[in-house]
Amino acid sequence: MSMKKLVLVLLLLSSLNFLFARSFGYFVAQDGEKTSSNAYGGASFGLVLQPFQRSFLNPSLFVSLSMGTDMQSRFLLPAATMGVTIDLFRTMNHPFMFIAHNKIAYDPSVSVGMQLRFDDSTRPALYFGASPFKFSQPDFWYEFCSPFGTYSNKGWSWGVAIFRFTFLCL
Amino acid sequence: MKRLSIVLLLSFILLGCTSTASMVQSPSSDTSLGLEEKLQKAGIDKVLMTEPKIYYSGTEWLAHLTSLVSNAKKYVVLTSFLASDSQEVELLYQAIVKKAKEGVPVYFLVDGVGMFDMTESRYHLIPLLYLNDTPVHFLEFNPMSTARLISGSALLYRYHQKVIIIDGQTMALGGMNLNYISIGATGASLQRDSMYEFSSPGAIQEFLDWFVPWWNDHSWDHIDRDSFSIENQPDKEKPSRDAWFINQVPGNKQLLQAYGSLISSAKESIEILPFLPALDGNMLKALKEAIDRGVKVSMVISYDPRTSDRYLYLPLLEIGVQMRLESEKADLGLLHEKLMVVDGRYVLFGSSNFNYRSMALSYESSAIIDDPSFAVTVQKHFQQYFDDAVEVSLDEAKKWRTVDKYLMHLLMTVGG
Repeated sequence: MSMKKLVLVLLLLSSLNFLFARSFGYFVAQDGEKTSSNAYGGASFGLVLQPFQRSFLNPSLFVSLSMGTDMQSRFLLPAATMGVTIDLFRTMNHPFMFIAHNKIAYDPSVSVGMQLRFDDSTRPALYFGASPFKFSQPDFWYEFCSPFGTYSNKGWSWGVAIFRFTFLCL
Repeated sequence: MKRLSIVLLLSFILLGCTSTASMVQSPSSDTSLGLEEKLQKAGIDKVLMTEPKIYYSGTEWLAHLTSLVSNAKKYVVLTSFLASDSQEVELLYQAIVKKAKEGVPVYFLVDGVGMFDMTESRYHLIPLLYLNDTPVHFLEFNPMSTARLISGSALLYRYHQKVIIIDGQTMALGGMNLNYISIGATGASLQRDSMYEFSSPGAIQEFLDWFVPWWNDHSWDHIDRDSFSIENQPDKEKPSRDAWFINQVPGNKQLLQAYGSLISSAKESIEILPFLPALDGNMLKALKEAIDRGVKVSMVISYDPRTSDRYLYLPLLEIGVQMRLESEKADLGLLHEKLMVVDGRYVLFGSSNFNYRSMALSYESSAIIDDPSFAVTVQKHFQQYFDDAVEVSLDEAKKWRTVDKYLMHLLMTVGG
């Protein structure tokens, strides 16, 4: 995916923030995936709904669309995903406070969901993800090196989101 | 592709902006209503307030504020747009940390651009992040970071309030930041500004009722509204005046309606220290309507070496504003004061500049006090600035109607 396209999509998404309420937000991620027959690198954009602010097992819903280029530099939309994320716990006792200016919580999460894959052939898939390095403020989440995997009739694929930033609009 | 990018970028910026139309719409402009009714309809409730004590010297305010913090018994709330430690203001910050260590809750809110202070303060700046390692409850609003660029137009909203509350009894509003150039510098490096200290249980309550949930929405450092007591007994030695406290959150338009109501209610005179006067069409219209009614509108504009405010001099002069510009040669600090006096009776003071950014894109806290004797004192202060400033001719103003000044004006309109 070209830088210009990425910037344009970012601008479009960020311009929409006035539509959202606080528990609702959007995210941008840079990720890549290796499938049984191909590999791609690009970005994912999605929406998040977090109805609660629980300290343990806090759920949120997400939908996302991945896009990027494959090994032949062809632009493609590998998958659309919807699922639920559970923050396992939230703690302020961690050594990563330096990440942000304001106090930031450590709240690793796991995700499960359904995917509609568009690579090779259109087909459903199961989605599994984890964010072992997820940090949050009431209005912003930072996630780094989040692995994910999917399973469809073409077998397993796996990938990593290098970073994922989520802004919960106020 | 480039054109599309520019269009999208402009759309992105504009989507974050807010209309100022309510300054010239009902109830602000309703001629059948008195000022009090207009403010009430705008949701700005009347409070009682003692006559403010004004601090025009940053160094005096620094000493006084340090003393206020040092003597606090119950809690301290400090909010500022730009705030940073430096050798010159370290006594204040030492007092803040010491007070928190004594067990008195201290809440400190600062805007995220404070770390990127581009004034003279940048040569003295010690970031306040160290407060996170102290018992001070510290919050930076809208931090500026690469990750947060995805916040988009929300990054345009800045926290511009300067509110001080000590023990629920003393409140101060004004234009002074808590950084070197506002309160720590000396001579021409020190900005000329003002802070107004008063007692007003109603204003304190209104602010805290908003502040506590707002803080909890932005920080994991949860605070409890019940822990903020308010001293409700009026000071018998200091008679109270009618006043209105304006707590503007971007989008609630309280400030627009307060200014609009004051301007549309003026009968004789309006004196304004606007700081950066990047007015939009509605603000100009409000002033023009007052001038057309026969109201004398006077304005003193700070000398800004960037000259980014000069594009608007011509329309201000053309609508009849008696506008004066501070002399470039005057060896004085930047005039950073914000003030409006109406009919020698109402005084509006606080953090808000008379410009688009303050009206639409910033958190601001200001107050209007109905006090003719206080207004006369403030008018004299204004008149001194007015007498020392120089008139701007129409020919001179026309020279500043250039493309580069227009672009700077646009930048200042959004950027402040």
